[in-house]
Amino acid sequence: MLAIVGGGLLAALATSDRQPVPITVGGGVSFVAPPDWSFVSRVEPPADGGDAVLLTRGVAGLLVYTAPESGPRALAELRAELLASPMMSVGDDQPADAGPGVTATRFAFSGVLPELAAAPIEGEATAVQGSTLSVVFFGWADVGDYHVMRHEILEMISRADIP
Amino acid sequence: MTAQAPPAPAPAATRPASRRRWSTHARLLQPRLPAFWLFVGLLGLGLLYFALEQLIFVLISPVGWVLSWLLLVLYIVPVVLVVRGLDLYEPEPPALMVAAFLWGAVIAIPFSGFANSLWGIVVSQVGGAELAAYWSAALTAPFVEEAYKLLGVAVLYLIARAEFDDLMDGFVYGALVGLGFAVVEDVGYFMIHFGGDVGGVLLGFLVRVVASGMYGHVLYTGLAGVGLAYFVIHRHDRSIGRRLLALVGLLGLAIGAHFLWNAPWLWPEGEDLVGLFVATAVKGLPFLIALAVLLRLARSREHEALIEALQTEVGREGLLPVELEWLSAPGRRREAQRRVRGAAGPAAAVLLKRQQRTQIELAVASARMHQPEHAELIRRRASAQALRNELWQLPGVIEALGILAAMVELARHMPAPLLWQAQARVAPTGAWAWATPDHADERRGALEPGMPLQVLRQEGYWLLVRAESGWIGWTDSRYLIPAGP
Repeated sequence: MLAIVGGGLLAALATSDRQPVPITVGGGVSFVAPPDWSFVSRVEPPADGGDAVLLTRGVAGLLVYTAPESGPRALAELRAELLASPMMSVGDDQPADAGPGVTATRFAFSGVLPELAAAPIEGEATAVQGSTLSVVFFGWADVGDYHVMRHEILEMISRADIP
Repeated sequence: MTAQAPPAPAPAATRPASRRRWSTHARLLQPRLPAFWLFVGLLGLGLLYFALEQLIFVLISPVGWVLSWLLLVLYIVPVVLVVRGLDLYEPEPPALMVAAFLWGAVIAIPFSGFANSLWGIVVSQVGGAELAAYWSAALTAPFVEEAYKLLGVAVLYLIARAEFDDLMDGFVYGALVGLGFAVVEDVGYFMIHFGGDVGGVLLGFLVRVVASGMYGHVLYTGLAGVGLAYFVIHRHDRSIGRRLLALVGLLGLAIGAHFLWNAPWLWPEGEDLVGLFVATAVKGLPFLIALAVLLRLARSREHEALIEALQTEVGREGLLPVELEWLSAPGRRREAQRRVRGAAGPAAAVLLKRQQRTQIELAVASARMHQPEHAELIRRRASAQALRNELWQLPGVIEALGILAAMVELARHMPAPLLWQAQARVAPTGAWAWATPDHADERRGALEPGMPLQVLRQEGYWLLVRAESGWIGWTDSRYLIPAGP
């Protein structure tokens, strides 16, 4: 009885120091998710011609998608989409730190977005400019919870491999 | 009464034999066996986990939780009836069947939950989060859950080895372990994955029970249980290699079926119910057919064994040659019932069915007890004979069954079952009764002082006696006194 559970425990410990397998988005973009985050599925990307993956961590979620246009332009399109929802408020674009030599722009948002969650949410959208495409990290959580996982999302952004 | 008789053992007044039959079944309660205590210990731990989990579900949605269990009773009842119906010849003891269900529901669930989580982490760490999202359920649960469920069948075998004498027994215990597992897992799915509200529970029931209830854990563990039964019942007449091949092969088939089910292939997007039914049929039906073929083979084998066991009973009070012919095939048995119903009405058909059932029980008892004078066999023979006498008195029955006059004569000349009549009493000191006329037979029970008994037969100082309750056993004549007024 205990062998199967014990075997699982030993195997989990033995593989815990392996290099994490990155999640590939498309167009050569990949990133590593922390252990608490679960891959949900590949989804229809908000931007035409791109790819998208959805991750979750309890009340938090992260949509990562590639966009053929520049980062600021991709953010502008996202901003317009969010503002189409009457109960959303969106902040101004701010330069974001996404690692040395990387150009990134970010805005914060909060409000109710029924497509994502029934409860009010808050979060940030960060567009990172690559040489051939841009990547948007759209992270959110229930109001009051985003700050708990924000550093994990920023870590995913800063360690992302974007050509 | 007989001068050469050895001294009778001192009577003791414990476990009155008059209140029970000589057991033909192994019991669950076996305090001398480590496997029993393993079961009890794990059940205690499992019940704690089960209670906590169910409490959480109640807190999530009391109405959804009650509805979940009510709906699942609609699933449990027909599955148990089908399993019992398949196990026609030698029904398993209810206590062991309940134990099998509890193993799946209470013991296998928490162990599988922990192990699935740990192995899921391994899949994620080795293959990545995306692979884990799509394949973790297929790469962990089939191996973990099938192993834990089959361990339950193995523990029940260690507790009640005598109950495992045919492939059907492995199926019955496996299916019930699987049923217990499926039910508790379904409650969890209804409450967590489907939201726990009334709509979610109903949708969960539609998806997990209506669309796929025939293919899940009952099927998988039923298959693996047949493999285990083959392994243990053929330990004296098949090579270890062949037995291992059957065990590993059928366990592998169960794991393969479970893997195919959990794999992300074929499942439709969204709420496509037609696609769901198609996917469940493609993923489950081949294995259900394989199990049906296996069970048909097992049933036919069990039937042959039954007919063989009855050969020693033909011509005794409980079984005439013509009755053996009817019993030799389920079709003939039903045909005889149909003819009796047509000629003498439904009550007569029920009587014939009871007689045939009694004769099947006689066959099972005869195969287990190799002493023809065993009190239990004598009791069952008398019971079958009494039912025959009652049936044949009904107008039209003999003609409908096409029984020849010679056969009627044969039955008429068999000693009739005696009507109850107190002929002796147990002495004030009490008495022992044995299953066979042998002081060394360990199957003995105490007879209460003063208990009235009927003497059916005398062999030397041994008396075959019957209590008013119908219980039959052998006792030493020196324990008895005249019945008196």
